[in-house]
Amino acid sequence: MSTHLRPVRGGTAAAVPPRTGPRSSIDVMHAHERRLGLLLVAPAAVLLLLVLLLPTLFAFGYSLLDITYAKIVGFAGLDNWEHAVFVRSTWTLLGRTAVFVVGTVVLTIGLAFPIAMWLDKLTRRRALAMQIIVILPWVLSTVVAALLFRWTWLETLGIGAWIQQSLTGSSSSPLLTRTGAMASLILIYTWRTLGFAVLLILAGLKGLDAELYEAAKVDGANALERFRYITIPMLRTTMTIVVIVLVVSSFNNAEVPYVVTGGGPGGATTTIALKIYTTAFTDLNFGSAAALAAAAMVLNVALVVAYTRLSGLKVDE
Amino acid sequence: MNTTKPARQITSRSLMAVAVVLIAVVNLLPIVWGLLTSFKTEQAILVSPPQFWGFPSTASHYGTVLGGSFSRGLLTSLIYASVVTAFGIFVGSITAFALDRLRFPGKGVVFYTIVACVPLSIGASILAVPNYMYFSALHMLDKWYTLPLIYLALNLPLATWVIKGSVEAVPKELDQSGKIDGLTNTGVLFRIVLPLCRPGMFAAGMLIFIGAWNEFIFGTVLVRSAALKPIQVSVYQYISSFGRAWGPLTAAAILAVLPILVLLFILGRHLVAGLMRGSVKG
Repeated sequence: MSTHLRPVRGGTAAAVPPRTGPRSSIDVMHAHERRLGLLLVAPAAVLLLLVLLLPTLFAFGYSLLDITYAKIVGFAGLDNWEHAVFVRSTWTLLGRTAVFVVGTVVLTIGLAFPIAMWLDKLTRRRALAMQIIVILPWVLSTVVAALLFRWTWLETLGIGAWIQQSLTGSSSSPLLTRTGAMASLILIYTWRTLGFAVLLILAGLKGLDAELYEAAKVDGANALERFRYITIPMLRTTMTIVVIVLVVSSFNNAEVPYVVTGGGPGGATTTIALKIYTTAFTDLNFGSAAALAAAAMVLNVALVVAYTRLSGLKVDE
Repeated sequence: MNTTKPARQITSRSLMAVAVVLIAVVNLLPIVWGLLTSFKTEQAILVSPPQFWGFPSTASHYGTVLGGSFSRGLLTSLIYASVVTAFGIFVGSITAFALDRLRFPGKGVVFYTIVACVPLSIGASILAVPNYMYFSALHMLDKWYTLPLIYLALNLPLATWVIKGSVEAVPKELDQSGKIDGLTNTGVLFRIVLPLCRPGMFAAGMLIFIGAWNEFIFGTVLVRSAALKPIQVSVYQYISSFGRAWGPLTAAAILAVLPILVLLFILGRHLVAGLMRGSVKG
């Protein structure tokens, strides 16, 4: 863990001893090391700059421009923001997105935590088999997962409808109602991400010091007290990181509503991410899309900074 | 206490069995049900209640799917994912090595950039709009390298992170003894460290392959030529053109998920270990 610390001061001149007299072989070695280090990280740095960092910055720039069919034709000031972001419908959009994000995150954490606690107690071999089963929906693509989930649980010929039919005597198609469609999205999304959250929490649990639990046992703490006074506080950073990752991924997810409902019925499942996508690529209104994307980016940047800082805190341990 | 213990054990055992069955059913059933449907005849698909065995079977749906443009998407994505995985493992490994073992100017910046790019790449679909516009300005849309470049960058942060976990686990004494034997830093990287990081590289490779294979949003807009469209877009186009023909639809879904399932059953152990070792730290 302590090795993480080094990068922070690694680049400073303090690492190199002051030069006295002629160039020593140590100096040559350090110069080589510096050159090699830069050479080795260059491809990754260029790629991330090109595909992730520049677009993040450009989202703000583009939102101030007058754009027609993805071509810049002039400066627009805050026009795009006034048309796309500072409007009434943004509140509806935000509300729907909040329902989707809060629904998926709460459901995922609520299910992932007990499953991870349980997997933590299994023997190695059994735990491995269960971990692979648990992660399975996560390795499916959204398109395939949505297709199979829908066919199994939501269609009238599926197993879900059959169970509903035998239990209640009637079956319905959840995708046709506004609440049903949103609930279906939340379920499909949670089904896909749950395994990932389980593994992250499990990794956090494995990292806890077993001696602490032993000491607490000796002091007469029961299972509930051990959970309350050791597991919860020790897992706080892990859980915050997991929540940030889950919020980022569901807030930005355009795929699930796009594939499952297309935003319907009647716009009931159009979240911000989907709205940005359709504004740009269906309505071809790139200026408005850029403004919406820039607005959404503000939240993302805040979350990314929080994530980086928390990871940094873990580094300091 | 002693008298209740066996009873408690039985309850906890049956609870455990229920948990195993529940998780297995929820996670596996859609795939099994899709697989069964893909082999049913048109009439058998419409039968209610659902049949799990004894239905008239056919492989014709697979013929329908593979006869169309679908197989081209399959091949395109196979090439994309393989190339991106090979490059990704290489770039991720050298980056991880440099970040863990070497001192050089700007190291802190690169380190925190990669950490920050982990969540940024998870939420990348929101970047499709600015990415599209600036790739368009650079005339980089609809090229053979457009999607591989994007997929490489999207999967690199997590892959580097996972490999870095493996690099850290290689004792630094081995580097020292290698250097005494006359190896340079490059020699240490390729002869000592990387051969010992194979589990991390497998895990990273799997993550990259899965990520590149499953990506959908960028695939729908950054390329237009049919030959450059990835598999997920083919599956989606299938949904819109076939609507309710669940035989071909499930056959397409099963074909699109087969490479990933094969990988999971061969290398799942490494994936799980790599995810747990790598992700939570970052």
